[in-house]
Amino acid sequence: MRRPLEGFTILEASADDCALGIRLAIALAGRIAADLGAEVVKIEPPGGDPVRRVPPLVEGQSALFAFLNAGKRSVVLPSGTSGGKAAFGQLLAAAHAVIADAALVGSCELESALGARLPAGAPRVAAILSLLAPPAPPELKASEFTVLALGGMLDLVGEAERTPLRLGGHQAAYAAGLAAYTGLVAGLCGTAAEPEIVRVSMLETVLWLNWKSLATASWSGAAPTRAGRAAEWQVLRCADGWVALVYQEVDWPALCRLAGDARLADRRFAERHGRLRHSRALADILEECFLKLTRRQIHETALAEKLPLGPVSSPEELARDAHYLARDFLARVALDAETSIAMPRLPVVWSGTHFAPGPVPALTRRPSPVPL
Amino acid sequence: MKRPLSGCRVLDLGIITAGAATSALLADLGAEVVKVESPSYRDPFRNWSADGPQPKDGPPFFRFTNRNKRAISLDLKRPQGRELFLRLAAKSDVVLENFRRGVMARLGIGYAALRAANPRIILASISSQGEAGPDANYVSFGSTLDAMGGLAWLTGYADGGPVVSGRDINYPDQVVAIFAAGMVVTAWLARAKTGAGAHLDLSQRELTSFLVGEAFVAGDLKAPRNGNAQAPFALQDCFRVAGGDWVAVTVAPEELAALRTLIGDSGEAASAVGLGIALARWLGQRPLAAATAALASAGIAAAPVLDGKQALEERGRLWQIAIAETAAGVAVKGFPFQLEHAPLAIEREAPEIGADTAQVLARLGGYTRAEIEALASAGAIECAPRSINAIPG
Repeated sequence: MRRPLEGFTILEASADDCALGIRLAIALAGRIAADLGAEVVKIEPPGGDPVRRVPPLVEGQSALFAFLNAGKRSVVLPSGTSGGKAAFGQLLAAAHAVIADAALVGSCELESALGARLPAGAPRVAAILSLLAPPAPPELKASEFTVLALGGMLDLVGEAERTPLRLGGHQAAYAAGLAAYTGLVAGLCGTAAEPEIVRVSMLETVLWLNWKSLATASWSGAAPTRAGRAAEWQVLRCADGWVALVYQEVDWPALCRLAGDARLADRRFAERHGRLRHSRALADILEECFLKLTRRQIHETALAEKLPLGPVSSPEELARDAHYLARDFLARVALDAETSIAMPRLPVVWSGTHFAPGPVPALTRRPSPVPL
Repeated sequence: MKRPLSGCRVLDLGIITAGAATSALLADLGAEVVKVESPSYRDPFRNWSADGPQPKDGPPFFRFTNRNKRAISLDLKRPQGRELFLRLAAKSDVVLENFRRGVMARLGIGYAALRAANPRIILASISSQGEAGPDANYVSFGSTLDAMGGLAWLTGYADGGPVVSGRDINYPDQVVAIFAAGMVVTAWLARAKTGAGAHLDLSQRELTSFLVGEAFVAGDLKAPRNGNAQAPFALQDCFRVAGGDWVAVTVAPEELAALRTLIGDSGEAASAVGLGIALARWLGQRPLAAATAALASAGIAAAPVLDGKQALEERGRLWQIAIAETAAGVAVKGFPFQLEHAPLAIEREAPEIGADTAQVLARLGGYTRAEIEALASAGAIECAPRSINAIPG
């Protein structure tokens, strides 16, 4: 099957001092486009994208870099030289879209390229990413982590009396990457004569994700905070690991049947407000029950009873998960001539077809003066 | 204003967040989104059951997620309702749903039926586990998927178990909207070239795993959970300042010398743990504003850990577009990105039930006022009281 973005060329570029979180966001947007069939050209400085050196390393290569850049073409350009600028201009003129960090705009040809002086139609879209954007003061230094703090997401995760926690991986960066991809492909739909500019501020994206907390604050004047062991939904231990306790009012009887503990019939737990008031006691009882059950047992009951409980799996376990195997979710990707690695394909099945990612691009040792 | 999805009509069966927020973003991009509910079934976000003070502008989560949409109400369980839906599908470009698997087929509006009505239709099916596979009927909320997708395994304190994003975030339910909207727009773009519709099978669990994809590449991690620490940073964590507030700090390896100078650390604490203890002591003696200002002057990223109320108060100072306002000045969900030449904007408030049933049936389905009144009195459709009078008799 023809991939939906076949025929499109998309450029990825970032300034030398681009924040790590923005490098990851740009790379994720490009990875999605590459899986969907676009020719994605990643411009790297002579030493290579710094993400190539971020641990953990697998077969000597960064797992992060491998995941984010599978299926792309890498072009090394010397930064700050006239030859590099000329080559960049050439690449830009041949691209339908460019994904770049805000620091790059103004520091090179990008700004003039976004004017109206280009050959008709190229590039039609520029997605410009930054950690913060106006009205935030430009001198405010940020990281992906401090963006999570400002966006109210850190405050909501973890134990009440311990440090606020970030979610695993790079969720703020990847969410910004998703926003950049969606904005970019929307821009490609447009027919305006001048190029569309997509602005992605990671903080705005994080706040958009955290809208429920802001909505609650907007009408009630107070926002929720992390409750840890007192949270209505939380992770409990079970016989062979952990399970996320997730349920709604309507699920309570089925949850009681699964737990099979007479103490749950206590009046305190009969209504939701009582369960919330006595949430620690409830968590203790349910954990005692779950400790007699394996994740598989909980999984099977949840599936049969339509309970939204979540047995916790590690990525390593998921690589062997029957459901993921049935859906070919893990794809083998060439890391180099001898080695291949498994990584998630794009999480969409398109009219019955899924798109396997391409090989991880090696770093060209020598800058290519004429990249085309 | 002409927007990227101008001319694209979406029949929106999406509910709660994952589905309804995806179609909200499509509406922001210019699609005409028609929310489809039923006389016997509403979007659960319309039911506001929380204890405490009642919001004056209607159920806030519904209002936030369904602005920029129209709404119709028809009973898909009746043959008349189904026929009506398929007639509208013939005049639409996208159908979007996040029901439990099997519901669409049982209602007789699965992909085959939709394609028979409209060969160019794009069906976006957002589900917990995807269309097929042994867990296809597994149900979830976002926190379920944190657990089942591998994200919870990687979230937590170094000395503790896995942690989910929890009921107040339900991260996988939020983030899927940006991705799913991106896939629908991609299908729309491709259709303009090829003329072909598509069935998009979007598994929220797979997306959750994709968003920790590097951990699948890395394989067996010896320490999967490490609090807030993260490579390649020398130090990253939250610390209490004087007064008890938390501040988040990220220190890159090349910033270590500046940090040591700032806090008067001799460099004896060679390890990140030792430096963290020294920084915690230093911050604990300083009020929030002084602490963040001093770190900023040393070129180190630092920010107060805000809750939702505090974050909202920073609107206009640190951010602008994530929350928007209706013409009446009521807060609603804003945008995760912005387009410079075709800016996303709020043009309609979230509709009441059946607000546009009569108008949509007349305009798209070609139904007469008499037919609409007959369908309404038979209970096959539901029209907001005012709307039916707008249709010529």
